[in-house]
Amino acid sequence: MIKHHYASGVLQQFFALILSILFTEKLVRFIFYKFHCYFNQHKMSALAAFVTPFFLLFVALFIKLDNKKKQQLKTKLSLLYPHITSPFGSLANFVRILLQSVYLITFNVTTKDAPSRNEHTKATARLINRVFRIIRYMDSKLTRRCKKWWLQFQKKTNVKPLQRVNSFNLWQNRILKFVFYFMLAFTVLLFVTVPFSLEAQAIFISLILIVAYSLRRVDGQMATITMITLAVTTSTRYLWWRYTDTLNWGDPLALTLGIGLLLAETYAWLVLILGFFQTINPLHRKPIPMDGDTSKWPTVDIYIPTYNEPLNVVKPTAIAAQSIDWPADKLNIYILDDGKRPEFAEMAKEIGVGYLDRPDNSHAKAGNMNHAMKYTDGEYIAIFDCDHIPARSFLQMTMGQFIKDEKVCLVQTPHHFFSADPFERNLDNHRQIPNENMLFYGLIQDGNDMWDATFFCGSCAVLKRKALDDIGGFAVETVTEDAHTALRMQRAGYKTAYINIPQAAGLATDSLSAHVGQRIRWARGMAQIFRLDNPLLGKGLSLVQRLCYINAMLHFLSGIPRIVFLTAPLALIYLDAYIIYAPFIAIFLYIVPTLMQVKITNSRIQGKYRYSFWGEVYESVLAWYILKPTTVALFNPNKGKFNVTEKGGLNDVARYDWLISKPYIVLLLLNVLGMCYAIFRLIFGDVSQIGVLLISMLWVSYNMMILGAAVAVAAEAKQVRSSHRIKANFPAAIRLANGRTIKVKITDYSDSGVGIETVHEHSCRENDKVELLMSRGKKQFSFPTFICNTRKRQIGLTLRDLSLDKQKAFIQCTFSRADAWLDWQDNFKHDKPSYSFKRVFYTSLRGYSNLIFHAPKPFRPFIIFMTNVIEVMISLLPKKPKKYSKLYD
Amino acid sequence: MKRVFLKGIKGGTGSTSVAANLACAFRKSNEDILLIDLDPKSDVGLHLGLPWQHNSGWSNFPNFESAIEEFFTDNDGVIFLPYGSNSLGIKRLQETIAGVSNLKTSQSAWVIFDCPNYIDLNDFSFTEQDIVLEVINCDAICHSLVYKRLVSLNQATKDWQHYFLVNKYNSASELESDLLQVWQSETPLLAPIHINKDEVIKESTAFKNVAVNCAPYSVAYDDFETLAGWLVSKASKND
Repeated sequence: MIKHHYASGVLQQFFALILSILFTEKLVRFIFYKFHCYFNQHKMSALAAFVTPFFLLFVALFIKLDNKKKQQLKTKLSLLYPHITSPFGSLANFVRILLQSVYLITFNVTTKDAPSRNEHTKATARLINRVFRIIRYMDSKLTRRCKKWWLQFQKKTNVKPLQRVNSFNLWQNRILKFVFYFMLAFTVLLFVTVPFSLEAQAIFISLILIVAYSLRRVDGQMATITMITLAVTTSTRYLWWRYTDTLNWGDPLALTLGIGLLLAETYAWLVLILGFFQTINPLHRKPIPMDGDTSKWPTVDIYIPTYNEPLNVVKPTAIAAQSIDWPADKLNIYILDDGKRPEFAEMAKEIGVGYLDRPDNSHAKAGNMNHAMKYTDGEYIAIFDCDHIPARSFLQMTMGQFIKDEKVCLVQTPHHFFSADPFERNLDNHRQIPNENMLFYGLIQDGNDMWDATFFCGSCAVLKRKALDDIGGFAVETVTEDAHTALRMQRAGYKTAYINIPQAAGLATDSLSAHVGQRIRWARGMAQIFRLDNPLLGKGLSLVQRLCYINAMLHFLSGIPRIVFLTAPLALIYLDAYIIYAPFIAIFLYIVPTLMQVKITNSRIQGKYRYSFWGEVYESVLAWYILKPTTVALFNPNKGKFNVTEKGGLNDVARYDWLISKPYIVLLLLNVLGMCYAIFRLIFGDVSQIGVLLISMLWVSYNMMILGAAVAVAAEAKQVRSSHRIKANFPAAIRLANGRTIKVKITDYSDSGVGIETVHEHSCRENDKVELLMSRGKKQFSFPTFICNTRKRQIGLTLRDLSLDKQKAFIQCTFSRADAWLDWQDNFKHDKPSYSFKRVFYTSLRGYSNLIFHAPKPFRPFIIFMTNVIEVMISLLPKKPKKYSKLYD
Repeated sequence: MKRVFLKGIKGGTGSTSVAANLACAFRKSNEDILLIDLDPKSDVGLHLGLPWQHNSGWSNFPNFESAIEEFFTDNDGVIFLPYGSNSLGIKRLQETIAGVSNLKTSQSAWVIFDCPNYIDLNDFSFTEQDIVLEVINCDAICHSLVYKRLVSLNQATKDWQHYFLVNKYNSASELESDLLQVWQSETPLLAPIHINKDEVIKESTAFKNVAVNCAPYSVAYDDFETLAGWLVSKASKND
């Protein structure tokens, strides 16, 4: 160390000697002073610290550098170069200074706080704002206008002429009727097939879009039907155009790929048309009240089939089933335990319900219920999956249908889930965006009901024993025994009904893999039914019922088409295959408006039950997984066994399910690489291809968004509560240990606790014992509870060691309240496509960040390195100079 | 004028507290209310802020007309008449009831009579609009008394509307909740509401006040409000 010091001292003396030849002593001292300053304080490199004083001296030849001037210069420089970091002499700073200088020279930027310029930006902002406001105003005006016109138009047209035509003698003539329908079909055919020039297509499609746009907010069935007609017309014309004009017959590769895409599009078109048809006029069936004389009411058995679910899941269901409003001597509850667990038999005995098990487990759930039918004799059978807790009003809401029409064999109610399903939990949008189920139970089942094609969904339904006996019990041939059973009963001439009032609630699947597993089972079952008991063929069904069933089955065949859509644009990018062989402008004129038209129409029909673009996300997640089982089941329907959906589990740590997201990551990588390659081709490739490349890139980026959202779902969120909290809002009271009572509002509850809110700040402390008073009808119950947490006005109560009676009472006061699940659909506003797009986009970003955040260990250093590189690169870019504010004056 | 007679089926059922709280609950919804103490223990005033030293009441005057000076109004506007310190026979009670009924009040005014538990209802002349609330507690004694009363009510023709009102109900007690359930399912004339046992009813008397004023966020407040509402609905049915 001393040696080093000594050496530097010698060095300094040497330099001093050389410098003193050139400069005066004062300047030499200045140079050394500055050198030490730069080297020690500013941490510059030795070379830079040595050179800079000379630079300063050089500058001083031209500019007078007194203290004040220096300060000004410094400020100015710090404003012009705002991103220079503190060890001044680094390489990065050199690049920064260079780039910034170039930027400062090329663009005329000032550090002066120019008010005129600021005014300008403000004015522009104001202008943009005003334009937007005008557009919005025009839009709302136009929409209102359209509504008005429409209403006037509707007033003028009345139904009478139609009825008169209907009853007219000539109309009864079958030949005339036939001719009329034939001509109608011919006209439609003509309309769809007549070729348009590009200009004509542009005019046609913009006219249709204008109509659709103006109608989208008009209330009423007629407007919906008009929009559907337009959507059907445009999409059919589009498909016709695709078949006739866009196949590349010259290139075998492009032709094959093109036909693949075309088939996928045909599938989508078919599903679209059938979907429109299915939901064109949903029947909102109202419950029929039961006759007052209870002695005439039929007997009902309630089956609660279970296999491996834990006791604490089944017990509340059995207790709630006991409290259903029905004459006690006509209501029998049975736990059908395929797990043959003695503790279940004990529990059944304890709470007073029946318990049935069987020697074997053949045919899973259907076999279990068939076995139970031999030992019970109720006229009607209600079925609840063991986690579906029924409300007390369940039978009151449903049984009236059977009494009114004795051909009714099934009344189904929606499946409602009080816990978040994997999508909702992992994307953190529970109760903000309608979940996957909503579309089916909110809209499609109601639509099916219109055509008397309600599906049996395996739970939350009542069936007529006689009808079941007629078809030989529950169908055991497929893994979806429910849909198959309903299909058979409908074949036998029975009617089905759907009541869209949630009368039971259960647990959603608790992981994405379980959810996917469940859907795989449904998909396989549907494909099996398609093969074994095809609803298109066979006796007994009306045409519309057949179509409804076919649509349901087609829905589960969406695997291949979805994957085709997710990869189609890559064909052009990677393989240069023109799968849509048409000029750029034609593609643009056909595809984009048609898609918009279909989106607008779907948004109108499904708006409350499914938000735009989410359907693609849900479908994409499942696509890969249902692809194989459906294909296998289509070829070999007897393969595959019933797997039980797991529920009620915990995720103690947040994790990323790499296994399940693997196919999507592969697809995603393909798309990302495709995007990069497309950009490369855009810059260096053939100019004539820019148009098609741009369209492909647009499509790829849409696919990337959807895949990003699909990947986001695989990040399994933590799930720590073993019992789910259910949001609620009803009055109750607590009695404190000192005997005082306080009115409270119950905000949430679970099977082991209650959250309450007082009107005023309370004085309760943790671990206090309080009595919770809740009432059910006239009856009031009191539950001993402990306070487990308190906040300003909130109190959390835990129930501990309740006796069986109290447990029953608690379930009666909470889960089985008749109004427990009624606010189900009211939370959701009507869909707004732009808003929905934004949500999906953000979800997608979240998916990408998840991928980085959860990346496996070996990738970590690489990712950290890459982020650092990107950060540094960004820091090198020129920045806008800081504004010279008043502070410096 | 709508008349409500409150009496305990036996001593200590809490009928006076109910009467005072009910009166205040009526006041809260701006009904005109008169509360007349017919019980020689004369403790209605204690609930409404009258000092314990106050001894006089209508019984200290020779007739009802001369006792008009004895009416008090409490802070909420409940007009009440204390009993006083003389113990009197049935005849004076009848006269007082008649006297109150003849007062010139608005048609919609309510009069609540706090009666002692031992009076025989048949001694008084009632109309069909009159409501008699017999306050009971959830215990075995009351159970027997209720059934005795039901038998006697069935034998004689009654002119009034008779209801049993459960007071001091504690749902945590197994016996009480069982008894109430039995009554709810098979006892006729049981009022569809009950007053829950609540410490604030006791505590508020320590403030010389009623629970309806002292504890607006208590169950007691709700109970009395519901009771008042139910009485209004009963009375409007009569019109």
